[in-house]
Amino acid sequence: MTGSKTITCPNCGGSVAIRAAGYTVSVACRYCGALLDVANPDVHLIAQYGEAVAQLALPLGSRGVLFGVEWEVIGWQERQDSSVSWTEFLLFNPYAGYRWLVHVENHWQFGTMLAEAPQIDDDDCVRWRGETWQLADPPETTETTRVLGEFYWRVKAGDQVDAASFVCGSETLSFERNADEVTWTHLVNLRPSGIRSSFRAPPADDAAEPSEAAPAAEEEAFAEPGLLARWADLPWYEDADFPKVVLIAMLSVVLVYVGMDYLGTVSQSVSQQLAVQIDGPAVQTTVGTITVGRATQAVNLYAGTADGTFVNKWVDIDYALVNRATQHAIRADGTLEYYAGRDSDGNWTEGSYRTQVSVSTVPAGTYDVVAQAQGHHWTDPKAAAVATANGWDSVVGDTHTIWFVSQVGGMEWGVFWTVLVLIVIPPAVQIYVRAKRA
Amino acid sequence: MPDISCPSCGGAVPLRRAALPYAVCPYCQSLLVRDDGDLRAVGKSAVLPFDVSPIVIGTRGSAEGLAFEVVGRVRWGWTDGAWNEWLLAMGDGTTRWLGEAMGTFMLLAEAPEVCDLPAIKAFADGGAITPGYRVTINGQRFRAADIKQARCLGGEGELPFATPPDWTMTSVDFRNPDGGSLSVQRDAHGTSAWLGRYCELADLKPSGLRRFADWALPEGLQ
Repeated sequence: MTGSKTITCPNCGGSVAIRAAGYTVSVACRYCGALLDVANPDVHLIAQYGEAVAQLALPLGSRGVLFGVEWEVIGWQERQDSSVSWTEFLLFNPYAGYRWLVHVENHWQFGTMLAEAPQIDDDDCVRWRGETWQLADPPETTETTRVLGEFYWRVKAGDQVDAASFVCGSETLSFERNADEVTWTHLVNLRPSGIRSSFRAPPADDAAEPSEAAPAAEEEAFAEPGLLARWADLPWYEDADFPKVVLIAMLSVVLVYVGMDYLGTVSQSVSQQLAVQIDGPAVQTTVGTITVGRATQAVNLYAGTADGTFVNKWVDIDYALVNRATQHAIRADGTLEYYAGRDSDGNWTEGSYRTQVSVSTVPAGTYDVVAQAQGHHWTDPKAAAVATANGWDSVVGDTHTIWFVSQVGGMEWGVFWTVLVLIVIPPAVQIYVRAKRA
Repeated sequence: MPDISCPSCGGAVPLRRAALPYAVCPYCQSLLVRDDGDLRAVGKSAVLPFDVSPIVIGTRGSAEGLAFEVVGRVRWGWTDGAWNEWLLAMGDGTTRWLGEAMGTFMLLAEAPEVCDLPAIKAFADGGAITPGYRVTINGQRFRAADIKQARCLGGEGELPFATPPDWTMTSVDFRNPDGGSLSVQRDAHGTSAWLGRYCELADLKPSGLRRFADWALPEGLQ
């Protein structure tokens, strides 16, 4: 015999499993959201929500082990008082009865209804189990706003109780009262990561799980206050936070880009062309004179060619930024290179028709930008093996026009990409951790 | 104890306690009364709806230092729910009731003297009780925690009374700070009081609990 029975939803005809048969009075159909009265053999519709079953932190029907007992999530309600809204999951085990999981933001509490009535000393404190519990939240109307799943009373949206809470250390006693019933519930804190890893999603259909399936191993769900809190239990860690994290990351990237672009405005640009003979002598030109206005600024040195015959060749470029006042030179070098060929994987190319050298912190001053270039050729050993007669000769002595552009300022793309990677790391780690957890 | 044939359907009605006058046939739900070893059908008891109570007729255990066997059950319903009252036949020939509501249990023995208390007498005379209503018994202060208008949904096994489907009552549960429980029930015939305490299922050291294919029996209850 399994612990559940099935009814047919009078609203949509769907099969609704009753997990706590005999106790359950109202159940929300998981297909159409209708709230059904199952206290009597003939099932009645109580309310028609017409809303899809919400995405719950713990799915209805999921099971987990807390305090050594396996619990099934059978009900969920959203409640609110004048200042805060929270949700409560109803847990059930046929041998252990009911418990509550109260969920506010990232805070979880495990609630056990008291059989005994705490001694009420005065309005501000009660005594229970030898401890004095101080009033924390004075009596206030608490209203149920949404309901899903099964309940042992006919809960519905709009239900109201008077609720107060008393605290002792990290534990809470919650008091609720309506016209004909008074209940006390003892609440202890749980660690959120323990809850999420304890509760496993239900099987895909209504078929009963075989009892041989061992219940999920229990995490230490009881929250040790203070130092032992894991990072996953920190308040900013929420399951629903991922879109937020991505948004923050994207905004940060945009901000960094806009900021760097603004700071990296090109304040001056000079250009020059130079004919370089392959395997010829080194040639030199003054690209232009630049002035660094800020205390230090980046100088970007670009070089390239528009000549499509520049293949399997490279040009070594030595730059010197010669300070006109001091004749002190800041040196940098770059290579313009482009290779192409064919091997067992097909055609390949390497390099590009453009090269950039960044000198990130050039002190204020006026500089002559001097570029010296020397061209070389390269022979593909594989192509040489099937040598064409003129393969060698064709490259020697070619002359290519190289252009130079030197700019003061400009976007520091290296810095930008580094920042981008750093910004992307936290969401990436989050995805990894959660994927592993799932 | 030998089984006796149901006079209505001929099915074997297992009788566990000779002292209990009523029994419900497990096959045809006939309500049977026992006169000098003979069974006589006196009506029908409702078929109890499926529930997931861990207790069944025949579950054994111990309470108050005595072994017991569950021999009967009455199920009560109110507008928004239901509860079970299980009859325990104790090793010394007495009986107790084990109330089961929302997964909590209370072990109760009849306490006729409580009905003489003025606060209860007022209720017996038709007075109303609201949550928080106080009663002091032997120096212990009880407060009313739960007041329900209940209708008998049916019975099974052997019982000290008949369980006709039109039977209604007012049931009031009182609690005290030490886990004590007082249940006062008023119906058309009078008022009775039951005193005891809340307990955990494991406290009863039960054996022969109901098994569910999709639930493991907790270690402490095997």
